[in-house]
Amino acid sequence: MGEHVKNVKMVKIYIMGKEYEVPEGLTIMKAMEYAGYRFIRGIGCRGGFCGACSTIYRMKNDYRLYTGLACQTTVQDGMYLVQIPFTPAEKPKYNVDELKPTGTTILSIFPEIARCVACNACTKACPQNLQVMDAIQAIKRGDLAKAAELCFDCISCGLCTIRCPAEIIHYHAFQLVRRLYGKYIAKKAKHLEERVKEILQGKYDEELEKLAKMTIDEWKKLYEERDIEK
Amino acid sequence: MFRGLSQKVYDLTGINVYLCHQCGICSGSCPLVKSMDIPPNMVVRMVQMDMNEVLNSKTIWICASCFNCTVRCPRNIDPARIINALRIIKQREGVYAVDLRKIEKLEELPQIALIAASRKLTG
Amino acid sequence: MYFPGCALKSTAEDYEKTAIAVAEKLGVELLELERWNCCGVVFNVAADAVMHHIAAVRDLIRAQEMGRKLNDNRLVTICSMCYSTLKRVNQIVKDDPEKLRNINEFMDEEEDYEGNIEVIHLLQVFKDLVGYDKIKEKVSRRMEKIKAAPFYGCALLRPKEVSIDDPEDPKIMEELIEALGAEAVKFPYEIKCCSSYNVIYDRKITEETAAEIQRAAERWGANIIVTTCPLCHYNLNTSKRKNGIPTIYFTELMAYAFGLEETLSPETLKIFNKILEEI
Repeated sequence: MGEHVKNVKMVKIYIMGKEYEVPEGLTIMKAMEYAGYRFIRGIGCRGGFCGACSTIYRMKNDYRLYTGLACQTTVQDGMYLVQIPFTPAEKPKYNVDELKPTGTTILSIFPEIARCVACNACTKACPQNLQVMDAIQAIKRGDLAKAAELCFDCISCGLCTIRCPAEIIHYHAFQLVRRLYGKYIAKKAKHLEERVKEILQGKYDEELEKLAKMTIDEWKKLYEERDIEK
Repeated sequence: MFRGLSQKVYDLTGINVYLCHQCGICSGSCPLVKSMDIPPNMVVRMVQMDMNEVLNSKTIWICASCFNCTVRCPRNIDPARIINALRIIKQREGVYAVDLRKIEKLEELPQIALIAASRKLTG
Repeated sequence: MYFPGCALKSTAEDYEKTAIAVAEKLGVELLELERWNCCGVVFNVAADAVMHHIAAVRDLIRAQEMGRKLNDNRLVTICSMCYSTLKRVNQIVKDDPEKLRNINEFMDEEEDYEGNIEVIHLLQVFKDLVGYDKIKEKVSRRMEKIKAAPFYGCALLRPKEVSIDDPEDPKIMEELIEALGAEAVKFPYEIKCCSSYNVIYDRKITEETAAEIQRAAERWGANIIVTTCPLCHYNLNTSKRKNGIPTIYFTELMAYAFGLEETLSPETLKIFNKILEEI
């Protein structure tokens, strides 16, 4: 073991029941790698956005089941953990163009939402601290704008879905909510429409062509000299 | 005094099914009896006899918990609650009486129909 | 404070709109709970069913939080099924402190429910708080051609512990209809069940039940059925009979009587116009 590790305080964690000593301050993901695990699946952006590294854990003398993203949560002494990299769920097929933006539309595709008992396990499980149960309730009553707002930051990690006693598939339902909201309810962004029109009219073709012909060094220079919003 | 099914019903509801003297007022009051395969009074009788077959009847899913029989039962034993207890026994075994993904006209149904059915007809 | 419930926010929008409008006309302000969830629609009768009471207790906690600010503990419901579920759960946790403690402990992210909220139905508000005399004063239309059969269904009347009236012989809607100047047609199926969620289990049962209720109301001389429940409303209107008697919400009848046509949907207005034409 390298010299630099010697001065670091070590903590004990249990990965799938097996004890490991790992340096304090590591994320769960790095600690697992330190312990010898090599990730092929159950890993993605390492930045807390992709939702691929869902983890559940318990602490000593505590009945609560905690959840977190392995790339965002630091290890603590006495942590019992396992990764839940994927929550199995069928992805229903639908055509957003043919749907009406109502709660009953979503219920007809995801009828299990009606089984919600308002236990709030989903909200407690959400590593993004979303009001997941309130979003499900908003769908039930047909308030898609509210639901879309509440689930905007969902990263589809599936932790709510695996905890749900009503077997609701939150993350697919939320995706549908946001699609319906974006297509039918949210105000259209004028500048976006204009920009798309400009692109289609070929306004940027020349500039793109110029970029395509540049060398890597020219790109680097361009990147460093770009305008940065302050 | 209780064995088998009557004990299970007692555990779930606190109801002593042996108080029923089979007057039949429950079945006479039931608005859905003609759609049932076993009328409510007979359901209660079958629980008295610990006949597990009653758990396979359609009646336990058709009863809409309107509590007409409950209000009228002269022995105050609440047949609707007994039928519901039988339904709950099946639900807790994970039995589903409907497939929520195969419901007709789901988009036009009021959610309360779907939510009620979810709670009453799925495990 | 008032609890709308899911149906009133979507399939029964007209019910909410007219309820708020007629209440306002009568000087009653219905303040929607700032935050609420579905009550669960049906009450679970199992003695150990704690999980299925959580939704309703959570709503009672929301009412408790808001009630503290308003200095009021009355929670008004409009949908019959919400009324029944919230009322029954409220009663069971009041009667069983052990159960309430379990539920409170489970919901460790919420404040404890103390059991002080009173659940009432809008019909009771109109009868007991407003009074039929005041309702009579607000009627601005001649209503005598409307022969309305009150349909109570189950949830407002049974079991008797939560009934808003005599479970075998209710009068509360009949009296309201008469106060509006319409003719109340009491008919034998007024307390029958519409078959509820059988519309999902077996749609035929519901269609048959709806037809029976419609036929009875027609035989007793009614030209409209008035209900308090979004599910009865849907189910009774599913009957496959041609030109069957229509079913509307009691608040729509009130809105019409008060001259609040702008709150009525075109379909409901059509129903009223058709009745008046036929006569």
